[in-house]
Amino acid sequence: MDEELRYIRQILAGDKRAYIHIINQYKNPLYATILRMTKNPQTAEDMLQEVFIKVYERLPKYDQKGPFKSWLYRIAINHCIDELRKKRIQTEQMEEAIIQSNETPEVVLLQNEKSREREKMLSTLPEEERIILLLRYTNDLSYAEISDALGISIMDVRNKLYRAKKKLRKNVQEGGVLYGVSERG
Amino acid sequence: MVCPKEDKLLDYVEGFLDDEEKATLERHLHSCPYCAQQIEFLIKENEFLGETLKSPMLPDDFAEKMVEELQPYKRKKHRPLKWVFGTAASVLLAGGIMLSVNPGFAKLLGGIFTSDRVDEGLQIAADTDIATPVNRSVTDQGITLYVEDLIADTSRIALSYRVTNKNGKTLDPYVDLNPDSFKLIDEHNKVMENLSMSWGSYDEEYGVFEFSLVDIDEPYKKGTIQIELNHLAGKDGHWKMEIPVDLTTAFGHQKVANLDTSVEMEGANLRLNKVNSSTSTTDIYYTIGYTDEAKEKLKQQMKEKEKKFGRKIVQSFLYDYLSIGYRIEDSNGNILGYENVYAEEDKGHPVSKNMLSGSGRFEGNPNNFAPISKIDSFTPQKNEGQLYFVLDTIYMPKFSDFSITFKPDELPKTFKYKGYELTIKSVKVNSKKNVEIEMSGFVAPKSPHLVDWVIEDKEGKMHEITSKSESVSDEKDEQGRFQYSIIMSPDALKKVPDEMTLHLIGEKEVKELEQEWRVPLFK
Repeated sequence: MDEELRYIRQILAGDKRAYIHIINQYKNPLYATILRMTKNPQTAEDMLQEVFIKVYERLPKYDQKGPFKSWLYRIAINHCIDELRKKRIQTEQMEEAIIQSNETPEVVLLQNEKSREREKMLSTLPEEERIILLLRYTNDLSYAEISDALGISIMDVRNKLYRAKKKLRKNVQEGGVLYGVSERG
Repeated sequence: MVCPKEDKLLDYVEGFLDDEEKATLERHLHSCPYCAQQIEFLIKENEFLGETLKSPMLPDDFAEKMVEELQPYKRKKHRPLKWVFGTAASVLLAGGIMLSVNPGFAKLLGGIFTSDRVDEGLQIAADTDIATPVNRSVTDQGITLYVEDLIADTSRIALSYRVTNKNGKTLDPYVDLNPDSFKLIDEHNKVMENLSMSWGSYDEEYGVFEFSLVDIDEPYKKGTIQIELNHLAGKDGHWKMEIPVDLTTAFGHQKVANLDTSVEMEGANLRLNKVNSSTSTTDIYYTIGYTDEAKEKLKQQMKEKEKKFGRKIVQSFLYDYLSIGYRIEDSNGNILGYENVYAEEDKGHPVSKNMLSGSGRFEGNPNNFAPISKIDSFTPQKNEGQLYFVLDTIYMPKFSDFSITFKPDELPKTFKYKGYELTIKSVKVNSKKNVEIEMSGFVAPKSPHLVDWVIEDKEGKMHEITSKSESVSDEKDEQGRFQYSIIMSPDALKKVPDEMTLHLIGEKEVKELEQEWRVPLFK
């Protein structure tokens, strides 16, 4: 049996600690995603907790046959979009988040410099394009999984993803920060 | 070719082109260093996005802290128990054990058996005289094993227990099931062998242990359960206890209907042997095999397949046996239970209703198409009127002739086969260091189940698929097809070949019966 499904069945049989494995599997990519939606580390962490509670509560409704990942992301994304709209969270500048890294301090500094620029550019994208970009590259979701999570067609996913990447690249050129490779002139 | 637009290059990098477009573009890339450079840039851009957008991370103890705040599940629809042992054949064929749960009944015992946390059959039994309090304990290393209640039915014996420390705090009731730790001994002091056992834990508080008696040859009447544990709640020690069991009362409630009737349909031969109605289960005993004609046909096909794929690979298909779909209904047509892959039209996956467990064993050599005897247990039917067994579907194994050859570095590749539209998405080495093939797509309702795949590498060597994980979602596309995905892996293949052929060698056809076979139960 699929390991994830085994954990889910253990949870439903009353072993709540099996849920730790599920949380650990998804927490970081989801946090990285929600943080870029809320732009506030504490709000992002709170929201992520709410997501995991919601998933836990709805677990008996998961049919155990369909892909669990898509099901979880659908709940997560819908919850965050709803909450953001409901609370009208002010999109303050994102606080400097701690970057866990094994690099030397100089490299970390350089990365932080780069990451600040990158976050700025990311924040210029419309919400949906930003979410698609994050689901694709931070969460490794396939086009089909993104389409499932957001309730849009696969072609829509493709078009919005390309648009987002082009915009980012344009900003990179204008802002002078490179991806580390040259862009065509 | 004129240089393609950027979207086309992105489609290439994202794996969005079909085979023809991909080949055309690749030909262009060979002759156009400019586009080749763009492709390289786009790949690096993806890598950069993947690497940089994954931070920051949460603290390691995030999950631990969160789970502390959650309440464990106390009820809900399905609860799997772990079945172990039994004869080799019955282990091989035992299905997933799904226990359905409904609101509780009377409070004869007051423990876990009267709660809605155990299956409905046990709840019903808890309200009768086959349930007795045990209240025995044994302590070692400061750890106490306390057996609370016993349900002694003709089809199963279940006991509930708790594990506590010196201060009375409840500890994890997990026990490692093996034939030495739980024994059922008969009145002549003989240990009952090859019994199926199951164990489940509830709320980290109660453990429930069960012996299944449905497939024993001679009825078990009375004796003792001997528990002997050497490891409990994380400590080594010795916990030994004997609990007397007497099924006399349970036999008084049992009703057995010997049916002994059979039918031949669509190449299958089904004999309905008997129905046993115990306090906590209703068990249907039947034997299913191929008709002589169907057997001969399969043998012939098998010989052909063996020439190409080898005996071992082809014979493994025989274990995925002929099976049936049926329902149990009353005279008004109300369906009280079923075991049927396609009983519900909106489900893309196998379903059963009110079924507690299933087991089976071959009546002879499976390599020679021996019939199989099965026992399906349902929650007891409360309906007092006439019940019917209705056979409505046959799932017939069939050798397949389908192959697809591809190069793993030229994926994705899409193909169609009997209601399936599948895309081979990737071939890679997984964390267990085995080659893993991932496919996904759609499957139309009532398409055959694709059972046995084999991989042939470029040198013509055949690799048996040893691990396979499939999922079918209930969600449908606009054509009414279910989402389907499959990941499979051959143990013996450690490196991704440049080119490979995927052969489908066996499938299971769905044959819905125009004329159903209807047998009254408990006349």
